[in-house]
Amino acid sequence: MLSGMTILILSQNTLEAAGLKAILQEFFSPQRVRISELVAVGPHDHEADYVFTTPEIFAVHQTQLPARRRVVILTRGEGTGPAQEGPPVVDVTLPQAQIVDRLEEIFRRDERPAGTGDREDLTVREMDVLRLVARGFINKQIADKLSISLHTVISHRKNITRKLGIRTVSGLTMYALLNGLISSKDIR
Amino acid sequence: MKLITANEKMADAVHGNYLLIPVINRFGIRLGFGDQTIGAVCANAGIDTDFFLAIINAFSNEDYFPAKKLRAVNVLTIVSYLKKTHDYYRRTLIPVIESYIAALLAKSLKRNPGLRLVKKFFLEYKKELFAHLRSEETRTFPYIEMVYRLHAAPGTPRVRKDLRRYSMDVYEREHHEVDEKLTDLKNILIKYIGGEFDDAVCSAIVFELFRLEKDILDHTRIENIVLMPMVAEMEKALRLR
Repeated sequence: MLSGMTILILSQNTLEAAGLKAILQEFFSPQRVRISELVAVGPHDHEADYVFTTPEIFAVHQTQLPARRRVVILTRGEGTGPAQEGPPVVDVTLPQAQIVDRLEEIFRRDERPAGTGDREDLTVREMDVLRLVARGFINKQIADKLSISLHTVISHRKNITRKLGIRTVSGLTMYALLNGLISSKDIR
Repeated sequence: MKLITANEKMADAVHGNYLLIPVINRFGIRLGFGDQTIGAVCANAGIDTDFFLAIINAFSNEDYFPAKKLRAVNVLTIVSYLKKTHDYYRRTLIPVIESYIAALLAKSLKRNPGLRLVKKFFLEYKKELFAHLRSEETRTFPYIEMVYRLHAAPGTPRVRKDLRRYSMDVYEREHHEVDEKLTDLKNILIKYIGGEFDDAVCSAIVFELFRLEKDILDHTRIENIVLMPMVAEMEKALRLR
């Protein structure tokens, strides 16, 4: 359900965090779960798709939590019903099966309808950029050739890497060759 | 996964995780250990049992990394272990993958140009990986050994000149690029390989790429979390003498 996603657990309760991590990994297979006691988040934490945290940390550091990321609050006993507003809550004192059900409910609500997910095909423009990357052009040259800004090229490249799961130029070249976007005589 | 202890039988540790076999081999321990405990096998082979356990437990559990225990080990022992992992990549794992890729091409009766690209990409990766291993062996490890020697000799006066904090930036960047290439190759085979190819051989290649990736990750973790801080500490002590 969470394939490809990264999760950050912000909690000072070691066992609570470790337990949640184990449950998430066993039932939802996220790509990565990181536990931190500190709100001073590391370089990768801004990419976290979900942040699980305690009411105390949330109250104090709400504004410092990665913007736009989905936050889930870990409570003890109280607040079992759905919160009126604010992030969803999970009662960590419930039996495991109920916690799993509750998590599934939260994740399902956020899931996009099939076909519009993050892993759709490349756009025509992204394919233009990919062809030029594969032919050995650097970002600046690509920007000139397509009459777009350097910033736009970089943003296209990020999307290409995210969609294909390929980071290196030689990997992208190989993808372009395999899919007939370029032929081997195009490579400089 | 539970921690492996010295009283456990070596055979049971392997039953629990057969991926440990090549790691155990690196210590010069070979299959056929009978019912001997890990402690006994290590004692017979003249290996520091605590170091051995720290290495195999870290290898088995992604979430467990006994940095403190490992930093208590002699630097030279760690360097020697890392050199053996290099030998394993160079003499065993990479040649195995290369032979599978040759088999993939040989078994492809129809012409599948994608497979030649796989081979080309892998050879490029191999070249970069070997260059990285060589640079560690010719620059990094000798430097660490020198720092250790200076540090271990009590008479060494304060050292300023010989200590050039060897550039970790370059080193990490290299590492990163080499690792990304491996991940790309794996992903291309899993997601984008097409045309006619031998399923069994291709899956064997992907298995080995996963194994290589895991082993390299473990190797990098030892370098970054154990070795580098130990070296930094010795350098600092030498500057302060």
